[in-house]
Formats: sequence, structure tokens, C-alpha cells
Amino acid sequence: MNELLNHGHEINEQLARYGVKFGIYKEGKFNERLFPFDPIPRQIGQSEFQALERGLQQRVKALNYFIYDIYHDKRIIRDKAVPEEFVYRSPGYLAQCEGVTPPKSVYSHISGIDLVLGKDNAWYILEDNLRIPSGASYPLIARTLCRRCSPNTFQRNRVVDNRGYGTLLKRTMEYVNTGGINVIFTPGRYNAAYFEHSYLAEQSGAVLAETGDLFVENRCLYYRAGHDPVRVGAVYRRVSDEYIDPLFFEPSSLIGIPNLMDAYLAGNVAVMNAPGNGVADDKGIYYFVPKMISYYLGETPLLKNAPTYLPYFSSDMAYVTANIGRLVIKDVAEAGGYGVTFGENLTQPQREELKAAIQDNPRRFIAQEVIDFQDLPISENGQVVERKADLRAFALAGEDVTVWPGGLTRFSRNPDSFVVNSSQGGGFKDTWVLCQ
Amino acid sequence: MGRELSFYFDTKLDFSLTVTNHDFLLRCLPADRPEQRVLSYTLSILPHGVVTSLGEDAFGNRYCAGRIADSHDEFRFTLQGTAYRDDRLRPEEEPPRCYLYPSPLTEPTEELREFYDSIPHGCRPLKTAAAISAKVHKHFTYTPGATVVTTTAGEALTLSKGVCQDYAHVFIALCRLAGIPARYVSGIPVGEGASHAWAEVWADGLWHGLDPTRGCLAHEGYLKFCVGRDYSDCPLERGIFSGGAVQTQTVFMKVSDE
Amino acid sequence: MGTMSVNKMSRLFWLGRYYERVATTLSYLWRWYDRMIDGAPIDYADFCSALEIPCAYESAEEFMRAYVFDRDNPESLRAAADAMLGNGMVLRETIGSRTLAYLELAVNALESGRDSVNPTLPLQRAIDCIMAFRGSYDDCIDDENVRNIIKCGAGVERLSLYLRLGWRTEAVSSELAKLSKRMNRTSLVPSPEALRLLLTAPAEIPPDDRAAVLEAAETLFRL
Repeated sequence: MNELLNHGHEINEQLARYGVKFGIYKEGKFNERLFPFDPIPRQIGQSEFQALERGLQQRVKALNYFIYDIYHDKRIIRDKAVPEEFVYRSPGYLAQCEGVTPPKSVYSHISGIDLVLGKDNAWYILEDNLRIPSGASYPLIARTLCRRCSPNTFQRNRVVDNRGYGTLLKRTMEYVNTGGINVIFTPGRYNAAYFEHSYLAEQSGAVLAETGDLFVENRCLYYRAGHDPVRVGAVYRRVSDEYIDPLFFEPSSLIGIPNLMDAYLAGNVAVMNAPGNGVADDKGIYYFVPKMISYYLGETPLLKNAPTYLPYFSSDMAYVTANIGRLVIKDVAEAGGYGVTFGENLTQPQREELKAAIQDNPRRFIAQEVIDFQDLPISENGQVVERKADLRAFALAGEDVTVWPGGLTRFSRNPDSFVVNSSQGGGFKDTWVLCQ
Repeated sequence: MGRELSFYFDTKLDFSLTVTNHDFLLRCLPADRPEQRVLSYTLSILPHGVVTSLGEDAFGNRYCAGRIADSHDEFRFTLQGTAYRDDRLRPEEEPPRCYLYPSPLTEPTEELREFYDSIPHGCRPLKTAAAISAKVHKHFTYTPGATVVTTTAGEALTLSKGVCQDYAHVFIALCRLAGIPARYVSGIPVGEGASHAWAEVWADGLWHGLDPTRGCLAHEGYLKFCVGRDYSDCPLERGIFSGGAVQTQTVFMKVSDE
Repeated sequence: MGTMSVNKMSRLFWLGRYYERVATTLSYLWRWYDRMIDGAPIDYADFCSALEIPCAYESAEEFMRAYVFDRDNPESLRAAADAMLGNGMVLRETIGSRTLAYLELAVNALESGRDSVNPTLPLQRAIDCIMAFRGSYDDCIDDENVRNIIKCGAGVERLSLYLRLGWRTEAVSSELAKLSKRMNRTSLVPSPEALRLLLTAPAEIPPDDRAAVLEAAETLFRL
């Protein structure tokens, strides 16, 4: 695998050739940057991957049952397995979706589950991203380019071919499609993940649409194609819930589709991922996912959560305030690596301040043990160094849940940082699932 | 005692320039529920020939969605009909739990909590709600123009000024602090003028209407259009169009006993 | 004719205009680099006025740097190249990543020429990439409508530049003939007046009539 190291420059040149960029806003200005790629792949053995696959399938199934339950019978709340205020106070909960069933009851069509590998060789779930998780396109194109730059590497190493992500995505869209074309709806060229939107459209054969290309009439969604509008059966929207429909939600949104919710409520279009599914990827709800797995599936969770404490429960509060110096504190309202505080980096007065904030509003925070996770080798200025890394695995739900053999491995370029998000300067590498 | 009400609700939007691709969503259809049976109604929309469709949202409200692709400089919708209001026919029901929790415009602030503490509570829910309504009614000065549609309960309380929407939001926020499920109601009471907003609280299996703006109960002379956690869930009219036009809105409503 | 929004038609058309603007203008300027070796003057002020762009350049060298390479100068070729790539990027699923890559490479070539002591080699690379783009889209895109809308954009741009610069005017009538054939294979709707004027233009256009023909070419498609 280290032979790819000699091709790092070529691969990066290829990535530039294909415009593999992500956008970033700095001081109000939009800039595009190449997403730094490290040629040393993360490798996952076949049996390890199968275990991961089963664990992720289980998790995504349970999450989907949970979302259905929350918007319908609320059994899990009535049975007191999840306190109701974690549901109703979650920013991802949408009262506008009460009683609404999406086509084929799929809520989280494309889930991006973030994991880390602990030094104990166990995988830990860090976060479930069910709303609009991005990132599959980067390792997808990188694989094609790596094979081009170093064919020998792939002759010698038997790596599962994962370049069919587009087909998988297409199948996921077809499964819920209510009759009509598949569309990927992007907020536009100046979105951080625009490359991904356009590349996935190309790979899945969906039509890429922006505001103004789509409209709703007679409770159906249409693509404005000259004189004869074309009916849309599934829309993979890359716009968050609050902005998708200026008439049903945030009225100032300029990137939405007016009355999309009307077509959705009528069952005439599949909206992927389903509105309101963010109730399940809330950082507070995360704590309850292992419980959900036993509650809905009657199974033991196959994958571990990071040890998590909810200051909401008084016993956990006591633990958190006593051990704040060695915990990670996460603000449940923030995303993208923001709102994450490591107690060990705080001064004593800062710790006191944080404790006070937690006591003041316990529902707003979760605390986790810092997992001692395995660093991955990356190449930097001709040397191989170790850096923190995570894995975003993609699970696509249709008739069954399929886990994409690969994923987005992100690493921190800063040796002291645990934060791997691209918006914070991190890079990515390919993830090999080996045939054996 | 039941009352038969006849209603007329007319809204006209004039655009300073012609507009196109105008999508709209109307929630001004009277709710059809056991305690408020719609006997007959017509909704007419100008310009003629507009494609519309009816739907029902998650709060149980009926709405009319539509779209005018061609250029126009006027949009008008007129609703008229009759309804039978009888609160004795209210069904016993469990309230959706979301009505117990803060919503976008009713998030409690420090000031709201302090205000809440100054109100006698802890007695039966309906009595507490009535005390809250009386207190809000007394505290506020009805002042059109002091607030906007996005003003939160907390902001309105600081101003101590506002319109029916603000009274309702503060009232709802306080009821929820008291653990009483409360929801926002848009509609029109017997009389003439503009549309009105009040609130309903849930107690002993039933929803009860209170009007903190007028400091009274929302009796059977109140015709209900739609409900939600707060105003943002159920504005009577929303529209979005292409064209940099300024719109002027003229509303006239009338509700009278048949 | 496939599924295509008006937005998309407009982007395809402007993609054609911008790539042709970069390619044709570069070949026009090509001779000037050679002349400048001997210190011969170049008519950049006339050039700017023919293109109706402000001429704020203080010297020939300044013009060749800022007009060609300065990405912050909205009139520059570099800005046109960015617009070309920008239109391409929003058409990835229509034209394909493989074809789009040539635009990316053309812009990278221009970028590398900015600080080069000998900008002609990077410029030549940029032209090569645009030529490769032309071949690639013509070869790889099955949808005739898509292909021909891009070509119509390129055709209009060529006419516009030839007429403005009074350059290669002998090619105007054959460009017009190609354009009128191509537009029939698209979903583009031409302006009838502009079309009539273009179709009745004489083979050799007298210099005094160029402005009217130019106007017709510029207003043929309102996108």
C-alpha cells in the first residue's frame, strides 16, 4: 500500500484536474479549496467490514423505526425509554411532520455514520448524520484516480471495488420514487459540497436542479423543462429542512421549493432524506440509540457508542462536573466540529464557567469520555506521521440497508487536534475494504 | 348554546409591478371539527383560472396551495360561508405533546420566567390559564406597529406592547411554563375588521379558548381558521413570487350571527 | 430532446460563448506577443474600444498582463475563463466529468501563466485544453440538443468577435451558415427579426453594416 505514497503528487494532480473541491466561507467570501488527499489508504479486512456492516445495518434500521415511531405512535416515549423532552426540544424535530409517512416508510435514505477505531480494536460510533450527510463523492472519485495512477497497487492488493456508489444511489432513489424522474436538488454552485452534488448527479443519472428549476402544481413536483414540465418522483435534496420550502418553513429562504411539503404530504414525491429525520441524529438522542436497538429490534447493539453522559440525568451530572477536566463536552445545537470542547484544554476558571453553563441548561450538552483511538499514518512533506482520523460510513436504505464498502476517512492535519472536519482544514484518504 | 355564524373574509394584494411564478399557501379555510361544523363555503381567487389544490397539514389545518405562473399585478382571495359553532360538541382528546414545549416564537426567556413567577399558579390548569390571560391582558398595551410577525414572546414581553399575535405568544409561553398544553389559534370573532389570534389550552380532556388580547374567553362567536404551536406554524397567507414588486395588502372580514 | 430547463439551456449557451471567447481572443493576441519582442507597438486601445471594455491599461505590458491574466479584472480573459469553468461546473452531469476536466485544466494553465516570464507556453496549453474540450464534448455527448446549444453559443461568440475586431471577416458568412443550420437542431428559440437580418446579410459585409449584423448576432438568442 505504501507504494501509493510515490504517486501522491500524481493523484493530487488528478484530483485538481477533476475539480475535486469543497467551498468554504471565510470572512464572508466564498473560496474553493482542493480537499487535501493523503495517498495511504485506511484498510479494513473483509471480516472486520462484515461486522461493521451488520452493526451499521442494525443501527440504521433502529433509527428508522425510531423516527417512524416519533412521528406516529410514540411508543418509545410512552414506555419511557426516551424522555419526551429530548424529542420535542430537539432542533431536528419537526411538528409539521407529525403523522406523515414518507413513501415506503423510509426516513433516512442516506445515512453517514461517523466512527472511530479505538486502541482496543473496537469501532465506536461518534455521531449519526441522517439529514444531509456529505462526503461519499470524494473517496469515490479518488478510488478511480488512484487506480489510474497506480494500477500495480490494485493488481497486488485485492480491494473490493466500490465504484458503483452511483448505481447504489440510483437504486435507493428508484425504490422510493413515486413516478417521475430522479432529481438532486442543490442550493447552488456556492454551496460547500457543490462538487459532490454535481458528481453524484452524474454518477446516478439524476437531473441536477436548483431553485427555479422545480415547482409544485396540483400537489406534484415538476422539473421545468422548456414547455413540457416533467414530473419528479424522488428528490434528493441537499438543502436542510428549514430552508426546503419557504411557504411551509422559513419564509426568507431563497433556496427552497415553494409548496414542496404540499406534494410530499400528498404522497406524490419522495423527499430524501425525509423531512424531520434530524430528530434522530441529535447529539442528545445519540445516547439512546443502543436502547432503541433493543427496544425496536430486540437485539443487542453490535457497535458501541462512545461512553456518553447526559447531564440531564442527575447521576450523570454529578459525574460530569466532577470529571470535566477529562471529558469532551458537546453542545447539541452545533454541527461540523463546532461546539466541541475538550475539558483538558480549559483553564480552571473556564472549566467552572462551562460547569455553570451545563448546570444552567443540562439538556443542551452531552459529555463523552475521550476515546483513545488509533491514529492513522499520513504522509507529510515526505515523512510518514500519525494523525487522528475517523471514518464516515455510508448506509443506504431501500428494501434493505446496504453499507457502501468504503467510506470517507478524514484526518486532522494538526497533530494536536481531534477535529477532522473538512471545514476545519482536515484532509481525506481512501478506505479500502479488502476482499479477504 | 350553539351559534350559527356567517363569515366573509376578503384579502387583496396589490403589487407595485407585475409579478410571475407566484406560489401561495392559504390557511384561511375554517376548520371543520365537531365543535365547528362548516355548513357551506366558497373560496374564490383572482386572477381567474388559477390551479389550486386542497390539503391538510400535520396540525389538522386545511389549506389551499396554488400557483400563478403568468404575470399579474393583483391577487385576491375571498372566502364566504356559514358554520355552526357549539362547544358542547368538543370531543375529548389527548393533546399532541408538542404543545407542551417551546416553539420558535415562544422560547422562554429569563424575563418570561420572572413574569410567570409573579402570577399565582399551581391551582387547576384552567384557573391558572385564566389568571395568566388576565395578567397578560393587563400588562400589555395594544399597539399596532410596535411588533412584526417574527417578534418572539420574549421580545414582546420586554416591549409590553403589541397586537393579538404577541398577546397570544406570551400567553402560550407562560402556559407551557405552567405545564399546560397551549396552542395558537388564528381566526375571526363576531364583528368586522381584521383577522384575530387567540389561544387554546388543554384541560380535562378538552381544548378551551382564551383571548388574552380582549381578556375574555374565546366563546362560540369565535370562528377558528387554523392552529399551530405559534404563528409561524399557521400564517393565514404566505406567498413568494418573481419580480421586485412591493405589495400592499387590504383585508376585510366580517362574522355575524346568522 | 431530453429533460432540460431554461436555466440549463442558458448555461450551455454561455459555456459555448465563454470558451470561444477565450480561445478566439487568445489566437488574436498571439501575434502581439511576437511583435512585442521587437518592441513594436500593439493597438490595445483600439482593441478595448472594439470590445467596448474600459481601457485603463497604462502600457502594452500592463495590458497583456492584466487583460489576459488578472482574475480580479472583470473584463479579463481570465475572468471569461472562470465564467467558462463556472458554467461547466454547473453542467457536470450533462457534459460529464471527463469533458469538464479540460476546462479545469485550461483555467489551471492560465493560472500558471500569470507569473511566468514566458506566458505564451502556458497560453498555448490553455488553447490546447480548450481544443480538447471541443473535441471531447462533440464526441462524448449523445444529446444533439446539448451539443448544438453549446455550438450555437460558440458560433455567436465568434461572429461577435470577428465583427467587432474586423478580423477574419471573410469567414463571417460561413459562420452564419453553420449557425443557422445548428440552431434548428436545438430547443433554442431565435428572435425572428435578428434571424431575418442575419439570413439576408450579404456574403461580404460592408464595414458600415457590421454594427447592424453584430447587433443581430448578439440578440439572436435571449438567454
